[in-house]
Amino acid sequence: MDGFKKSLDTALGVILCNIVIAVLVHLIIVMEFVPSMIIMVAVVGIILVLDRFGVVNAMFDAFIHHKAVAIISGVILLIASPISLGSQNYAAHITTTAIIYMIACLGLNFQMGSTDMTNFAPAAFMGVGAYSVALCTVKLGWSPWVGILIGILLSVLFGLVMGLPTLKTKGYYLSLVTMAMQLAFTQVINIMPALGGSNGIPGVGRFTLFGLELYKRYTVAGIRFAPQIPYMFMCLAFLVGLTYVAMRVYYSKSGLSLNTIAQDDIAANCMGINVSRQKLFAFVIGGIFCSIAGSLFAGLDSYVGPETYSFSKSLMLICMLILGGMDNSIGIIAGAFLLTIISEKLRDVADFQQLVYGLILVIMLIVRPNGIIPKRVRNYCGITKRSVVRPAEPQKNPAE
Amino acid sequence: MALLQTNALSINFGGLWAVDKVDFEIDNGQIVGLIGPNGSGKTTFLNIVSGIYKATQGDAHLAGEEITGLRPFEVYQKGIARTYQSSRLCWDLSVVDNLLVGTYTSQTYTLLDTIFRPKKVNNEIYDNLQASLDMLSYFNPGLIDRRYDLAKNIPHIDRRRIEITRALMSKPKVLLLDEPTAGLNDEETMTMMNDIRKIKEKMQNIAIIIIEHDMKVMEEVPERIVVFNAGAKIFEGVYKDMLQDKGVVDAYIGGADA
Repeated sequence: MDGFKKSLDTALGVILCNIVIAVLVHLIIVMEFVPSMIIMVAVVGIILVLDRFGVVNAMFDAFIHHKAVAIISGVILLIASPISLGSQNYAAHITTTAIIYMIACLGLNFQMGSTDMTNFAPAAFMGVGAYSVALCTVKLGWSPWVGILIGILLSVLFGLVMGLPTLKTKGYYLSLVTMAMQLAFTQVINIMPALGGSNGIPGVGRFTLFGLELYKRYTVAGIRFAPQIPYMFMCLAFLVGLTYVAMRVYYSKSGLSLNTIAQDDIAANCMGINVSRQKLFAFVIGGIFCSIAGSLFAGLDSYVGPETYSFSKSLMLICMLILGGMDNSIGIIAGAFLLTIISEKLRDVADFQQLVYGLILVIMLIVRPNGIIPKRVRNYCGITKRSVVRPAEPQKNPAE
Repeated sequence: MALLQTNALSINFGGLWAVDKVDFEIDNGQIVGLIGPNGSGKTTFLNIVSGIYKATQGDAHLAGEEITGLRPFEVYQKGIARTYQSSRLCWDLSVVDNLLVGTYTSQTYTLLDTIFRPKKVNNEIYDNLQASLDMLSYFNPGLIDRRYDLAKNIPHIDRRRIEITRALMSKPKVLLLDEPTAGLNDEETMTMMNDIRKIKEKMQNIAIIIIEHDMKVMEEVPERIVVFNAGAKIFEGVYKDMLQDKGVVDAYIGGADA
């Protein structure tokens, strides 16, 4: 196993890793329900077994050591993967949905994973972004990009409004406050005709970029691509950018202070951390992520309705986070991907959808409560190439 | 004016004066021991000074600046760091992360810097990391090799050292140690005493207030001892005088009329 780890830690190993991951992801997306599920279960099983031998950690280390190679090959594969879906509408649709959920989960992680504040209202934050886009395009006739910006501003406000009462509460009480906010959000939309009421708002404007329509069937080199493909590229760009932000925050004093608050908020307070401000920060930045995800979702479905951003959607996002692994961007992305694919593919057997969905979570919580790819110890070698430890001075007996 | 000075500092918990009109002062470079029977208000006193509790009456000044009523993180920024009776390390963070938390206030980069990462951010993190590991190796060089271990896997005495190092990272003016030798055996207590002396060597000007039950430590480490009983200060002076003081003996053993 050591030889295997060593061969992973080369440029070639990193590229091969990326390719294997990309191929597996592609297969899981395009296959029929049964083979797709078999591959998925096998992949998760293999990950869990490999993790026993520390291979997953070795993979992370290898990616850090060969950052440039990993990023370049990753970007090439990211560009290739939407193209590889070709004309398959459905596959393109669920992949785009998965990407949007990944963004929302990254946002939710700031509260749930980093700060240990269970937020039951990520869907409400998504709703803020989605309704901003919907109202801007349908009622005002503006560009959806303006909608995204307004959504971000509103979600900052919403984050502050939600954050302020939660500063005084902790644990279950905090969760109850967020739950109440989520239910209130759905109710407000239901009873406000200006927001479309329970019928929602159909015909939300599609995104365009420099006059290029992003939701349209293009024919390139004789292949009629699915209409979602250009939109998927845009969502991928958002995902990459926001993952970058999330990782940067994780490897900074802000991320560290959130973790400290999660572990012991009195100690955090006595270490000079303004706990209230950092908690608000977690709500606001998480809210912005979710709002962007919601805006993108409105652009994909071209419809917003209260049911899309209801309590059950919040629960789904929370489940993705638990399944993937808290406070690890890669784990979160994996969790969001797996759960989206499972629930979308299960539409064929809709009667069993909820059952299988619950079963997966119960099994996961028994087998691996920390999620598929759990939190890792921060490794500061990634930040600075220099060795942290000074060259050994002639030391006395270390135990004194 | 003394470095840290409290005037008639008091706190009332539902009718009980847990700390009752305590006048206390400590100067640069001094070590003061705080003792007293269980429940006499020693830890409560530290909690008021560090801002966790709000004083009902009286005030506290640090280097002439009023610190009563400040929130804990503001008190910390003014220069009072502390450790706790039961360890408050973050169990699920590595040793390095625990130490870096201590440098939170000395890392000056903004949120935009966090996202765009100019070189100075990495340099700042690196320098702080280096400084904290240097400080840690001053207490126990062996811990450097375990820097990426989770705090929960570290032996008890080393956790204490990490906690003290973390508190020292902000270069505080006053260090409050709440029972640093709790749960340590005799040998480890000796090592801890040496460690506290080492702090003094390294940071000449630091003032240390130490709560301790171990009389051996109290005899050797502090220059002055303050005894609390039922929230009030009943004695202040050197160790030898304390042993003779009737009030102190009564508080611990019980008076003739008790």
